[in-house]
Amino acid sequence: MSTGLLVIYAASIALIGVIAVLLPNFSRPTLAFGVRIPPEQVDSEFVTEQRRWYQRWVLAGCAALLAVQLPLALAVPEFVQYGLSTLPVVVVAGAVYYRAHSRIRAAKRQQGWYDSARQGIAVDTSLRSDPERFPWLWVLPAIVVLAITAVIGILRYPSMPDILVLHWSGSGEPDRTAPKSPGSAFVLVFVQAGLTAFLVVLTRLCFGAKPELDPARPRGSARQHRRFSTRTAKAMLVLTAASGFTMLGAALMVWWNSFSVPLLLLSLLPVAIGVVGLLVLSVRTGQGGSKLEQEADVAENTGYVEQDDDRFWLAAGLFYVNRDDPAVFVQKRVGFGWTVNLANPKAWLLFVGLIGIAVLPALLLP
Amino acid sequence: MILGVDLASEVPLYQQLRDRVVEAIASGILPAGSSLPTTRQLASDFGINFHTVNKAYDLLRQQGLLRLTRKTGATVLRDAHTGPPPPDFLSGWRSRARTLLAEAVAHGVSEAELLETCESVLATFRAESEDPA
Repeated sequence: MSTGLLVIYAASIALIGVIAVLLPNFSRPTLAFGVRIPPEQVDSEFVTEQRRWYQRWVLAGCAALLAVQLPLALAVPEFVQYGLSTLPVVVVAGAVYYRAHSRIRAAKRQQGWYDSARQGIAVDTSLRSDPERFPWLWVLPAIVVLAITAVIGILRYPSMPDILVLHWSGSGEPDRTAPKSPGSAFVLVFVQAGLTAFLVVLTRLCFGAKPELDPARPRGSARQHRRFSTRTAKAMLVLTAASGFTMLGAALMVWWNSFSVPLLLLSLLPVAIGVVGLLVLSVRTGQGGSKLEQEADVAENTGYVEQDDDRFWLAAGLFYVNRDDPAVFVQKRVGFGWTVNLANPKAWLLFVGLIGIAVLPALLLP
Repeated sequence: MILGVDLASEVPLYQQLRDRVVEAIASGILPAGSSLPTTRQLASDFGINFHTVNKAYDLLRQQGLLRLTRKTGATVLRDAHTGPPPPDFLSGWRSRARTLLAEAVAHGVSEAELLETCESVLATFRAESEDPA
């Protein structure tokens, strides 16, 4: 196993570990491990202790897994399955998360945290009548990367080898080939085009997703939402361009029939930088813009608190199922970004689209 | 405009929505010609049933305050500056006002206090229309 591949292996485990450790930092302050909590509990001793406990154990678990998995990968390279390398750390973090979730949920029920709370919902109609403008200009880099891939492919096509290697095994041996044809040569370009289009549409849909305002300070949180939605849209479009760059790298390897670890690492670099950038952005922005600085002149408090909406969230806050809510996209409870309302049939259409992109290469290949 | 609903209130959600819109029109926050989101959009932003918003919008339409369009949502039809109320409005409103005043009187609210409340409520409508934040 080459050093380059080992770096990717270790880095993907460490990255998932870092995301897991940071998880409590980007959710809303009133969501502790997928449980809705009233404002007075946000910094309570009990909830703070759960956060500390979670981060300590995820960190320890992640370090232990690296200490076991890396020597194992060096000793038995055949064991290395990239898709599965991060599974143990996800399982460990998930278990620790679930423990913290259950403790907070139990305390909330026993102590009746919402017994005297005035629950409300606030909507700012100006977010609809005078919405933020979608940053269309930021789509340009992804289109440029796609165009570069297509042009290189067209120029290179006459001199491509007669048998194209489409996939290499973990040790660098070719394990899938196809005779040269426009279909086999340009399959990656089509996939890149499909992926780019899908991600741009997804970004646009998430950009218009429902704002979730704090009913205690609707005006301030509407301002936060505006900055949050623009920022995340830009970040998603940058990541779209970065993923196109990875596809370009893969296409170059196929077209020149040379598997190269440095080229692989180089093509993954923009995505890696993008993901780290997104992590920094999510910690600093907070879900829904909840970490963004409030303007000093805003001192509003209507006396309402966000509604206890735990009943709509299944599996410790991972899945949103609300038949009454016509929304497709809602902000995640756990983590940063959006998820879908599984009670809405349109959400399932989206999965069909995703699967379509995943099987597209298989359909296009002769 | 901020639209807020109280989930613990005994007043049904559609009634609360309708009341908030009427108040916004009275205070000049929603002048004639301004628009409200579509039923589906507003229901989605609240995370409540489509029919709840539909019911509120329909009440406002029946009362001649909103015009509903399939595509653009709802438009405010009139406000304080549009002119005198339609002929059949006042009789219905007077009987509701009578009930509302009767409640206060039955609970021992003094006449002076009652008039003062009316004054101060009207003053908040005026204040907000001068400063439509």
